[in-house]
Amino acid sequence: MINFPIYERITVSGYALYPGTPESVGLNHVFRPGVNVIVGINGLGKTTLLNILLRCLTGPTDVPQGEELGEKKRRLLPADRHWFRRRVPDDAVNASATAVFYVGEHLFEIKRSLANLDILSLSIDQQQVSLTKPQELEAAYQSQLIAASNLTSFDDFVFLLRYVVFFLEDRRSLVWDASAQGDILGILFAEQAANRRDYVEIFNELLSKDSEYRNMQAVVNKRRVEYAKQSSTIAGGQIEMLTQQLDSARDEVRQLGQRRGLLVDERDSLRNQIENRTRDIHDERASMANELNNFYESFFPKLGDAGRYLLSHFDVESGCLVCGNQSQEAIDRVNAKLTMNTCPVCESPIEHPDNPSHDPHAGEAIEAKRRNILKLEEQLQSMLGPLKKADEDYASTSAEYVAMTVKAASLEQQLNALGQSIPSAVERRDRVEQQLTTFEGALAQIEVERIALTEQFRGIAAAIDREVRSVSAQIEPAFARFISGFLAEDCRIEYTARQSRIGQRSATESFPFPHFIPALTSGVNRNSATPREAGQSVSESQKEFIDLAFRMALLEVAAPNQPAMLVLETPEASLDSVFVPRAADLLRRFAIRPGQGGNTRLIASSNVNREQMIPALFGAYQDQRFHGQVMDEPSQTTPPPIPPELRANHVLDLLKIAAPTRALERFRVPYEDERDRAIYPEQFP
Amino acid sequence: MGDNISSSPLSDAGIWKAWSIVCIAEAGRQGFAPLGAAQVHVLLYLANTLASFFEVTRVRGRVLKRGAYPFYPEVQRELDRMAFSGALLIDRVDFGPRGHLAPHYSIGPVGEQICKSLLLHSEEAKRTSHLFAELIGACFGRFLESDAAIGPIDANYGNADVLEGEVVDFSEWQDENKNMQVARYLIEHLQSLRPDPRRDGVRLYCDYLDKALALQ
Repeated sequence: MINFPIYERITVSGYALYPGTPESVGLNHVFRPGVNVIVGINGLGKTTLLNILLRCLTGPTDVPQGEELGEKKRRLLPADRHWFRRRVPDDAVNASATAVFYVGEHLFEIKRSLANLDILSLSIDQQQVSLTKPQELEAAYQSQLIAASNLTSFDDFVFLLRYVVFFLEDRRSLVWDASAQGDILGILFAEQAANRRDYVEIFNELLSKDSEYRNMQAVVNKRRVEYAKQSSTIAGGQIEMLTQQLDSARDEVRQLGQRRGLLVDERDSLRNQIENRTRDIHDERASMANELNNFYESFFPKLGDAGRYLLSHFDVESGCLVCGNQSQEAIDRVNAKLTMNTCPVCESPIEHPDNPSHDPHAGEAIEAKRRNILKLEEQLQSMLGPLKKADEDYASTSAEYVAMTVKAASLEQQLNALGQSIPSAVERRDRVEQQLTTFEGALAQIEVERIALTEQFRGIAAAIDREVRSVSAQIEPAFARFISGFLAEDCRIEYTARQSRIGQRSATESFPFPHFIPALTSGVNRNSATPREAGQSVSESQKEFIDLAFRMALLEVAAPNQPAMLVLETPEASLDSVFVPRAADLLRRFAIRPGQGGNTRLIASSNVNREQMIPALFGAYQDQRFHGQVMDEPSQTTPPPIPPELRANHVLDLLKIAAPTRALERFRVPYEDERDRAIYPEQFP
Repeated sequence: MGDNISSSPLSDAGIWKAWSIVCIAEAGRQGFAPLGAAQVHVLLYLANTLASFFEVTRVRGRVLKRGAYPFYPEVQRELDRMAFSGALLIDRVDFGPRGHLAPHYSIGPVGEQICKSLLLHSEEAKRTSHLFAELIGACFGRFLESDAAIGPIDANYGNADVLEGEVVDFSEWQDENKNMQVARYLIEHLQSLRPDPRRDGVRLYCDYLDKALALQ
């Protein structure tokens, strides 16, 4: 069973905000069982005093900041140590606050500096702790407190104060913050000790793993992108591609070169043959012309060398040397004239046709030569076609060869240009690859660890869910009772374990977290209570009272036979006239308990005004007719009012103690009059 | 490309004709005309070899190795054509025992006119004429007058690696033209010694041919 801190006394000395009275310097107040009201007006330090009450217990630590607890790690953060110092002109150098409170059966007396919240002295069960260093004292205080409260950590203690016990203006929402609710329900109702410590540790560890994983994943992704980029651009693809292209271009150049060489050989050989044939023909003709010489000499005895040379060219069928005509027709014409014994030039009859002569057409040898020349000429003609083709092939292959050589040269140039950057780019890519492997390994390791932690956490989460579920039957009616004092709407809470993941990754398992969902009717939706999971779907004041009622229900169920404590800041602020007596009635019922819970404290600050909250809290609400109209509960079950003669003990009067504001200095009499009307309404009928 | 030029046998015919006219005209001026067909062919071959030393554009390098001296069948036909069109004259024809008709050419009246107008209008023709003047001066009175068969002793034509019936080709690869290497060597070495190294170079080169022929 958890023991809540129960304030016995608060003393503030040397703090300029609370100078006190000449009879009693500073602030010195004893809290009584039941209702305690801190009375004041704006600017007298009500909020500061409530904060002193809180900081005396928590020291310079606080729960994580922000609207909701959410995915924050479940650990305490340093609080502002100089919050009190900044509120006074002398920097609170000599100011201290001494809190005396019970936790279970142990009485703690702790004195803190208001300049920096260090512990100045500490005694537990009236035994002075003989340490001097503030850190050591803090550590001693925390460990003793943990033991006395039956909690597993000081963190849980501060969480409980912040989320359940203290309902200040800067309070944290509990009903509407599913994460905080899950934690507080776990602290209050789950099996304590080892489980709770493991729970927090593993929870925090899982959060760390989640964030580590995501960070590592980001690094891995970045490296992957970098690697892909490195691979695809210069280092990888392009160079490889160019090299391949160059290789194939070189290969082609080589093949074309070989082909070109073969074509050159072929062409040269053809040309050679043609030239040889030409020479053969020339030689044959020259030789034949020589043999024909005698014939012409006998025909034309007076013909000179040049004339015979000319005529012999006709007979060897190389055409006319005068006009250059080489046609067979011209040759035949001249030869015909010779055969007819006429002059081929003037066509006159030849003078001595009967002279015996060597018939140029008779000799076998000459005929053979003629046939040979014919054959050679045919061969020559047949060689011209292949030569032409070989020439064309050579020309086109040469063109291809040149084009391919140019292409290869250009590729080589590109490669050379890239050349300088190749080694460093390849090196960089390899380095990134190596890093990538390392990071991926780390990522896998984190995942393995996370899975192991998940296994452990699942068991604990399930156990907590079971335990809270088992007490939900008590919490739900307690809440219904308390909330009816604050709201007319039908409002209830239902236990529904919330399935949630730890961390921001979507691909991980979810766990059950204890959770109550509030549901209420509204002006629009009167017939059925609708679940209002999100805080914003309810008005601000409704939210506050649902939250307060939930805390009261938790305190009642968590410590049914033990004293509890609730610290409230100006509870009347959001209530209308009808609900002031109703709320006050509930708070009194909570504060004034029979039996072992009799030591319960309700500490509420309230402004001096005519809202009637102060008299209502004392059970001295004056308008009984109105009171009867608005109350549900039968009046005989209401706790008795605090007698007027005892009320001063239940009041911490800041009008007396605090440094007066301008307003107080000027209107002290009417303010004090109003205060007295609030505390002692009986005296002002 | 040299290949394409030589692939058309008569593509250089115009230049050959001009060279032939300049050659025969120069021979006539020096009193060596008429020139036999063999002599004309050998002179054209040697002129082509030495052309670059006289800043004359070379004509073609392919010569079929066949017979005792370089012979261009297409050029022969052009010579004959020029002879019967009046550019050249055939002074006589050797109906020789070796089986070949050998005409001897001298410059004709049309040829004189052609040669004159060539030299008047073309610097290249003047350099060509100079080349032939030096060459004819160096050859005649020596080997060419009696023997045109330079085949066996010519560094290119007589190269044993080139077989009979194959082509002697030194126009495309100048560093394979051994005649030119010899001539360049001689001319470069004579430059510091003699006032006209080209003339002396050509003479020395022809001396070498003469001596080599005599040694056969």
